[in-house]
Amino acid sequence: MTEPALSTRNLNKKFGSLTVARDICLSLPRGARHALIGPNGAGKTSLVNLVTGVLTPDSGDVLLEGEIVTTSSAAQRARRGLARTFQINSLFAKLTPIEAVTLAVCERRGLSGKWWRSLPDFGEAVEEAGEILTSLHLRACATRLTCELPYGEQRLLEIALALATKPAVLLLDEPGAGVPKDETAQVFTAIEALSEDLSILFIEHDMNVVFRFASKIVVMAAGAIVVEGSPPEIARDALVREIYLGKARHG
Amino acid sequence: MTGAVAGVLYDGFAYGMLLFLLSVGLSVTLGTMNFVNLAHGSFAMVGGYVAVTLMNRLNWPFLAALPAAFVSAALISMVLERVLFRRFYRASDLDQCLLTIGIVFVSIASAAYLFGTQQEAVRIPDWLAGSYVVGAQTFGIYRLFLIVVALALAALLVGALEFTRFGAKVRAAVDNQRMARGLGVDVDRAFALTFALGGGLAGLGGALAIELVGLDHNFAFTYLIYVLIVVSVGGLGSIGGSFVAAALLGVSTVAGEYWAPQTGSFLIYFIMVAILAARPSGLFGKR
Amino acid sequence: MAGAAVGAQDLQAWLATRTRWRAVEIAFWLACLTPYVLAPDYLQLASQIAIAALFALSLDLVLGYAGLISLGHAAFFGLGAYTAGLLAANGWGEPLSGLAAAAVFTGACGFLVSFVVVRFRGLALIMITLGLAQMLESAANSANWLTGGADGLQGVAMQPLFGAFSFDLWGRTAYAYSLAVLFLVFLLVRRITNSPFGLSLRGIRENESRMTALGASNRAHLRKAFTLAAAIAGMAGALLTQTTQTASLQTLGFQKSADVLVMLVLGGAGRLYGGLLGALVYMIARDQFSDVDPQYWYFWIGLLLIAVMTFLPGGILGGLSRLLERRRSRAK
Repeated sequence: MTEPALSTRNLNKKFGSLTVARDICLSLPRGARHALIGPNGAGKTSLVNLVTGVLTPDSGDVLLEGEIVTTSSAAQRARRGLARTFQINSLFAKLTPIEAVTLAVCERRGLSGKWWRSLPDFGEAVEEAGEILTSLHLRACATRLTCELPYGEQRLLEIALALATKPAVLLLDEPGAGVPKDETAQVFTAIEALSEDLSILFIEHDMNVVFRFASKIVVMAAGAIVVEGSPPEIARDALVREIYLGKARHG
Repeated sequence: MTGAVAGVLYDGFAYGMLLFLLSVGLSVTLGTMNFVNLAHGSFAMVGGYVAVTLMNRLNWPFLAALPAAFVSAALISMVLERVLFRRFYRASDLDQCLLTIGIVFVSIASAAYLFGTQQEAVRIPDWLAGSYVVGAQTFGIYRLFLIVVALALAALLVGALEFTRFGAKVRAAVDNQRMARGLGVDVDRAFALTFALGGGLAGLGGALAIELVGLDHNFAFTYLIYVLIVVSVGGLGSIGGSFVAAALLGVSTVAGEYWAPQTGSFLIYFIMVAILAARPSGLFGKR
Repeated sequence: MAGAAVGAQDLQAWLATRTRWRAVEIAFWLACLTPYVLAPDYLQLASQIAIAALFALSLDLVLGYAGLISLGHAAFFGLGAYTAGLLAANGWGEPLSGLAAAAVFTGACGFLVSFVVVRFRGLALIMITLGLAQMLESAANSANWLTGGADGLQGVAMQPLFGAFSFDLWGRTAYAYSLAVLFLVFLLVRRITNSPFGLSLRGIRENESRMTALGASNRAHLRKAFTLAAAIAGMAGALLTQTTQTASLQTLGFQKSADVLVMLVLGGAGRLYGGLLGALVYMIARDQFSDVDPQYWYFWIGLLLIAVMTFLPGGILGGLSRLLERRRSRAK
């Protein structure tokens, strides 16, 4: 039995009297598509921060393919194949998409220390970046400044940057958040097209998206995982309905 | 020997109290509004020169000149905030630094033009002049006055922040600006008043400083560095932090001058760097 | 698949257009030779400008590209100045090896200091860089057996450059020497900013947490940039000593750190030529003002700073590029 791509063991984190993570035990098998849902303040983004190393847990472990990475830095975990996107775009405003993705590719390939040769000389890296942009339909705007792109394309660029690190595990934090209705289709088509080897955990509020993509749903509230199951199971679950208190759900 | 220590502690603490008055405003505005106002020293200088003009040219009594210094500096800082600084709240730290350094330069040149480059002096009232003599040490009364004023103001500040509605509004705005606005707190006004208060205190400090360390057109720049040390070591937004850091800096400076004059300010800077390296947000700073 | 390959070449070509030499750049460097013809009495000043430009360029690496605010960069300038000066005062007056020694020494110091500096941001970083530079100035002042204290270093005697060109009062050798060093270092820095390393620096400046999420070693990158910037600043300092045959405490002082910061911001940080342009404008202005009361200088510089910050963020080059952008979008 192979190790799950990502797992956590009893993660705990408190900020003063606020508990953001309570004994979180998560398991993401290879190639899986899991969704993490829960009301605002449930601790979903905090969990992503704990897993990626931005936050240090009070206790518990994070494991990548069975190896404990709890003491590794965020950058080290990223190099080990853990990628994430941010709920609010975290991009390089004054760089163009091609520069940004090439930057990510160069970092991954260990080329970022090269100071003698010009960026365009690294043809393979630029080509790889171009392919990633093409796969996310960003090729057309590759040479425009990031800050000038429409929000939907910026959201796609978020994903492009994460993909450029050739991750094994991808954490998507509300990929469709803030995207105008007519552009969300772009984003989710791109997610659908992602490789089957990639293990994805995504946070979402839009239940249509959740039920379309996820094979398993994890429900969080007040820092703890309250229930997990397949989409039909979750749809029927009375506790989930109660947590959402009549919030729009897909049955 | 102990007499010398007592003397150094006394003088140092008094000097520290002066630095506290000069710095506390900057610490608060940096902590609340995140605005790096290097022109804070200019406010102090305004207070100083207003006091000098009132006392030397218009023969105002010392105790009347002090509040005038406070008010004039508060007014100027309010005007500057409204006219200029407000546009820079979202700008980068560096931009704010450079803008306010420009203001310092202008204020220094203006002071030299208006008042000349000589040292200014004022005549303090007789009951403040003189000193108590204990054993071999003399303890100046003016320094005692300085200490009392600073402590009283510190208590007032903390009290105002903790116990008044205005203070509650400021604390709310610092904690969560958007929420405070949503709750109807006039955040802009709260910040503007805080800014004015800070500037006013600096002006008061400037007026009080004349007797202790003198006043010339370079004051804004000379004391900027000390103020920055107090604010960064004490921790942004912390009145208590400013108090402790100012006291530490005051005592260290006097002690250094007394016992190791040849090292100059080396030790001061070394201690500052060491503290900041260990605790970058200052001794009492957030995070 | 052929479509993707063509696409990639397009992108490479596009990236290449960003890095090639523009006509205005070539014109600029050619124009730098004109003082020999147009202003032969001002070659010493021209040499000082070139040195200031080199110093500003080094700060641009730290501030404009890496995004680290340093109020103590003059420390490296001063270290370089005194290194070259002490070598020359003690018998080693050969300029190029003195320059190299200064670069190596300040680079090494920069490397050591970088381990401390890159861990901090914001006010803490500003104060730490300021504090470290002040500590150096204080120590240099106290160690007047070594530095000459407030009187400055005495007895700096330079041998002729390449054995043939001596440093005279007219500054002919001085300017050629400073300009050549400036140009060569500029070429180096230009290469770096166009490289993957330069791109990483810009990434760190734009969004550090994103870089971390991409697995970048931010601190290692920043240390490299800081070390290089220190070495270049040291070279600028050495040039000053060698061309003026003296070194003073002012090379280390806070005033110097503030001056170079103003120069860089005036010209526009992060734009390679910003420091050069800012140095040119600042030094010429200061030279014009030098007969007048120094207070006037402070007044106008202060006003200029306020004006630039309010109306022209990004300095002269920033304003120019915005103007060009507006023209371009209007043309579309």
